[in-house]
Amino acid sequence: MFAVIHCPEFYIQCERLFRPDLRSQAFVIASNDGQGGLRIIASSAEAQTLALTPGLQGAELTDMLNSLANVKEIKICSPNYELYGDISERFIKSLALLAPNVTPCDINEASLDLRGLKLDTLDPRHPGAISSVHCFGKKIRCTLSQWTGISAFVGVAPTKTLAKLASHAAQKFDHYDGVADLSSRHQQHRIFDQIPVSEIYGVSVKAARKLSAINIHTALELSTAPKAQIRRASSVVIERIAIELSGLRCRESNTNITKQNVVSNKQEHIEAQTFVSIKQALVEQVTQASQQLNRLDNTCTTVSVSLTTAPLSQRAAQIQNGLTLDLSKPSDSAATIQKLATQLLESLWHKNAEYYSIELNLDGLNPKGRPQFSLFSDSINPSLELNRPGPLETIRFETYLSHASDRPWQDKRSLLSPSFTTKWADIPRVS
Amino acid sequence: MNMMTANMMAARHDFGESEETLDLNELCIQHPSATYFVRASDDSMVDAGIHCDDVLVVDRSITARNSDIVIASVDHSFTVKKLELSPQLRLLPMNQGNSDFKPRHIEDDTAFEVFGVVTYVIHATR
Repeated sequence: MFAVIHCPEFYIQCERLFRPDLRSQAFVIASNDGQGGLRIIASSAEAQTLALTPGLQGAELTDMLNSLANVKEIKICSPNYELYGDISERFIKSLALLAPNVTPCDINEASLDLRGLKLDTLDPRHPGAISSVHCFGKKIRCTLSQWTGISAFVGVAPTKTLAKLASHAAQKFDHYDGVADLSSRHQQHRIFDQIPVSEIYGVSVKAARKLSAINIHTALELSTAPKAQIRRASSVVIERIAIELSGLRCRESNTNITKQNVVSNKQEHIEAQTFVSIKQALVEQVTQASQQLNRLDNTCTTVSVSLTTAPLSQRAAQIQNGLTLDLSKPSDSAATIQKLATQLLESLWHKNAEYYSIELNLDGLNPKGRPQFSLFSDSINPSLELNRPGPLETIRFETYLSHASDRPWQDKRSLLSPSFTTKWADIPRVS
Repeated sequence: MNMMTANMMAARHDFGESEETLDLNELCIQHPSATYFVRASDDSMVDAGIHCDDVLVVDRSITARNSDIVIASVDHSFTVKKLELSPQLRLLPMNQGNSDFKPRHIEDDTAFEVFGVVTYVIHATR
């Protein structure tokens, strides 16, 4: 069993923690758009109802702010990554006191590996105190809220993809009260038909369109459709998501997340992004991934590269672009993988986009020398799929890139909130 | 080995293995991930030993009880006061010498939230 703990509107929550004046106030966190204007990277629910949504930028944003100026006060903050980073660390450390095997996934998200644990024994200080998944999730939620001041949603399910979807459901449907337990098939199917595929993490807008073309619109349809059909229509990545949705766990040989400057606003750490610097990150990933392949004595059959423009916390502003190439024959050669990966990057790269992260996936892992299956007849017995080589196994690397546009808006440094938790001179003053 | 190092080692041996140096964090901070610092900006709590410019250690993991000294947000700003839960919700200043500081009733429609409980006061004597 896995749990995913997700804090929505994380930047907004962090700012509000030390700024009571921003609670229930329409406000946006905006950074430089690179052309002298602003771009919204996060906005409070109140601002979103005024159509000030993440991703809005430049003249369009200026016009909207001007037209709203006489109607409602909109506060604008620069992103304070020092603050967000510190609160994120507190979030992870608090979680680690409540549960074992905490893996940070993003600045506002973590997963717990609950395999081999009886839920009764999850809290070492109060054995027997937690009797069910729901109570466990509730306890996590309450403790995080009291200790860090951040509200979080908890999803529990047999696979990471499902747990991620469960945490989304916990937020989306009020009846869960913040904790969604999707550990049984029955619980999953009860809500799957209410979740469009585009809301599943990892399914891009483009992939959702392709799925819609073969009449797959909801999570339920994705989890029950023949896997071969999904693969033909979209990609091996989506097929893997579908497999995980149907409750089979895909093995990740190594999920290696390298963080680069993602929570830092120190000027010296921020370099303008160039094609060269992104390619460097990719070369590093390929080197590590092919070493991993060699250790496993495996080959791979497909290489996927994807670029993302915004963190998970800002789904609305996120543009994910991914491409997959099949190798002509299974390979473990760093040079071959490098060549393909670079080709993919070149086709994905846009000069004017600013990227947040790059991800490399090697799929279709096979022990060396073993012939590749002729892939997946639809009639395959699902229980056999567990032992089947192919998309169940993957090597994944994700690297966060430094973000030139995250520089606090140069002209309005005063918009930056103080470093409440990291500088003595900036701690809140109380009277 | 020079003479000085030899002497120091001998001295250490005489006094037994030295423990780690005392750490003030260990004394003042029980829950690091739930602890924040704030600074007092007036003398409204001077009878509680909180002077202007003192640093207060605030633990959010503790649930506030009656008579605790708390950091609370009232009407969009932070304040440090003594919490009175009954007979009615009030925030009390602690400065008998200055009647300018008055108790504050928290009405139902007041935006009020306890941020955390003050557990230690760090006061510079000069």
